[in-house]
Amino acid sequence: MIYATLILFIPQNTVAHAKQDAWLSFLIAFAGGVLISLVVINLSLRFPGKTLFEYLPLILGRWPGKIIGFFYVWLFIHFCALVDREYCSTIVAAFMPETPLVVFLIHGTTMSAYITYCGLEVLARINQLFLPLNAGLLTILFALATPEMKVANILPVFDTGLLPLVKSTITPLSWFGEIITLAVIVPYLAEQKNVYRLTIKALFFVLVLIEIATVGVLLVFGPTLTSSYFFPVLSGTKMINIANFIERLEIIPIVIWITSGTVKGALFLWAAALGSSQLLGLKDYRPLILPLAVIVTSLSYLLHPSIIDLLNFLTQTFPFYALTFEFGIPFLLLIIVLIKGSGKK
Amino acid sequence: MFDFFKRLESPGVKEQSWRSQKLKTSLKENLTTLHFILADCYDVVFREFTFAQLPDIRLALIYVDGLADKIQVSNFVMRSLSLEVPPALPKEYKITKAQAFDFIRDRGLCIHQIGEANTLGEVIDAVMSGDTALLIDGHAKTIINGARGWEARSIEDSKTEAVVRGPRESFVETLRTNTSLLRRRIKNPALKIEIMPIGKITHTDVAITYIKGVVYPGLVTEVKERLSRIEIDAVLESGYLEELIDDNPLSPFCTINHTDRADKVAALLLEGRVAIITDGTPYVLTVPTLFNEIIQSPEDYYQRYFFYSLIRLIRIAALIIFLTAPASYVALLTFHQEMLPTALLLSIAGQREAVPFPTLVEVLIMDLTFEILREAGIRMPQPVGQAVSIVGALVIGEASVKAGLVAPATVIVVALTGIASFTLCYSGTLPLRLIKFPLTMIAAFTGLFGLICSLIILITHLASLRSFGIPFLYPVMPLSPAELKDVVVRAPWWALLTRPHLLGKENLHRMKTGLKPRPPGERK
Repeated sequence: MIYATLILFIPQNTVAHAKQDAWLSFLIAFAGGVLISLVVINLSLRFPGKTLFEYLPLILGRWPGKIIGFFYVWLFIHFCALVDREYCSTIVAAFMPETPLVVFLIHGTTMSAYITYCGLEVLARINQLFLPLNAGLLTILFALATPEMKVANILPVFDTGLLPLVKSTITPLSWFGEIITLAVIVPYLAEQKNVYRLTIKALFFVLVLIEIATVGVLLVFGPTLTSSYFFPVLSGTKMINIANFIERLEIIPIVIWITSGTVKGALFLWAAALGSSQLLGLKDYRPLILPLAVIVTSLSYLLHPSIIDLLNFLTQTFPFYALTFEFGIPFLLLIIVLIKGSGKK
Repeated sequence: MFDFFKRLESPGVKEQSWRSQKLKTSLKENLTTLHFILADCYDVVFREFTFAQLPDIRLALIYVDGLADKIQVSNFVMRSLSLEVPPALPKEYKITKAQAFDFIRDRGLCIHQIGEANTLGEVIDAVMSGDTALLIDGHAKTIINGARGWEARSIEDSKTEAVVRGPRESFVETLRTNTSLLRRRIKNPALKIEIMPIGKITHTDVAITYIKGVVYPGLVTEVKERLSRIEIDAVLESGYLEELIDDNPLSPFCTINHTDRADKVAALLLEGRVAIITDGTPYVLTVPTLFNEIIQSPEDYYQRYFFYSLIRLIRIAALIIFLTAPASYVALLTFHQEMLPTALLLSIAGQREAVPFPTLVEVLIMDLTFEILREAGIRMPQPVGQAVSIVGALVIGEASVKAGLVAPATVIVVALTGIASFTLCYSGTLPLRLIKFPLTMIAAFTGLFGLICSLIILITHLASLRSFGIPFLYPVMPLSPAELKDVVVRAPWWALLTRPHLLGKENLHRMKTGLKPRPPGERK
């Protein structure tokens, strides 16, 4: 009963280079995401029942495989730390500036760790509740914001030119690339045959949600204002005021962020815990959750001194770093597999 | 010390070495043994008399006064054997001592249910459950007459799950009456009722009930396996079993529901569940239990579906209010005043001006008071009921507001929470009532963020629960959109085509498709 909809959208912190054509860059990023997921799934299906960490040594040999595997464990830990940091920073900056960040991080990681402890099945089930809930809330939110929207804000289309568009694609592409987690999940999916279809469906669903958020925000603020806000979705929510009664709906984006952030963090934590247990040859990944959670908490606290630093990292450094692991290595692995002819056809 | 360990090994009564002992041929010896075993049992009656056909043969009846039907025993056992048998037979018909047993069994007794026993254990068990044992001199076996009859509560309205429209019958303490209530609703040999005695001292009968062909066979096996594991001295209520066969012993949530409504149990059986009926209690366990049963009532299926779909939504709202209203109230007033509309905020601030306590304390005091009142309402002797309601409603509600101890808004929130809980299935609300308190405290310390976090943890916990292999939150998690027709709303009967998929996969279809009423011309 596990669906591939495990990837969750990230709130739009940046609608950067592409200005009013930002929504287009997500379309391109979606295409890239599909490509990455195809590579990853193809690789996984060649080694049925094996996760990334189990087939890496098969492809590259024992030690190189394990070393690359540990890089991936680090990647998942880092992803988890970043996700936690993203939404916790948002809450601190937007709502509770006087509360120390670490309080939220501890809460967030505790939740993720508990979900991870309950296992992948519970994680998937929770996602089944939260995903429709978040999608519904987001849609309602932007439906309520329609009085503030102006179509002129996203016109003219294709005004920015091709280069800025491609440039702006890289960050969202690295987010879509988080679908690399599939390399760990695929062996646990109930329906092995439909993995391709399910994944593309899931990615498309993510795309729709992101487009709703992006287009909605652009329609409300226009490109200039949007890129100047840290949290455009939140600011967009603040504009909502219907009949002086339905107002102050900031809790909705907060709920969306916390729920999706927790599940996403839990997924990466699970991948990291499972990966390290498989690399170390342990039978159960559960004893590793607590130490990993502690690492994640401190890491997410220590990595970036401020939210501006975090945003800079996410937009300028992160894409290249992440895409190496998300696309570069799987692609190389696939080529090696094709040349060596190992695995199942 | 040694005694203690021995008890751990076998929880039964010690001196039962006679259980497997065979009966003797001599009536006298048998009676001596039985007298010895049943010594000091004031309610056991021994009645010796002579067989009318052959005065050599002495007979003895043993039964428990109050459990056996005295009229049946004296009229149809004693009377027929000691007086009436000779006239019913031709004069020349003579029987020997050796034929007496078969003769009495086949021709002498006017009792509908008869059995034989030849060990002391069987005889004693039968007598203790209300049967009457007939000992015949010269035979090493007894005839067990099923002439039971004891004082029992009559069938009444359900006390815990009231309905406006629907059957009024609810279960009683007698197992046989309860099974008859089910059999009357499901007149089909597929309704299986298997008996399993549990309890080393009490020998309580437990019936495992299911509909063959509807229930998933593995489920019945699993229920039997879990029940047969139990070795306990006594089972006085189904709650004993519930905690011994639960999947999640460390969770506050009970994943085995109980009900005393016969129609509800029948409906649950028809969905592919197993019911565990315990003798001595009207509360029947039904497994597997899903969380959504908390918002379902039998009446939903009897009344018009439009309105009862609305009621379902109201119950969901009530569930959310019940769980989160006090916590959100505390969080909003303590941390997030800016989220309230200004006019409302001013009004509440005005009310709270004179209140000496922080919001958390205020809410906790009122919540605690409400719980005390509720407990008092259940526990108090009935004649003093009025006093409690007057004290509860007037003194605590009205006076505490007037005295300025709590704000009226707090009273409203707490009262709303309490009332909301009554719309839900009572047993399902108990764990939520417990969780409400820590939630309120967390909200007071960490605000809405903490509240959301704890709700996520709560949902995670619920999602990790299983009841006899079925996920507790099914059909919401794992999501089965088609199943929501009987959870979020109550679809009309002509649309409730299938049983819940995970439960009724053996026999999925409840009815023919296309039963939606149509004018005569358009029917197929």
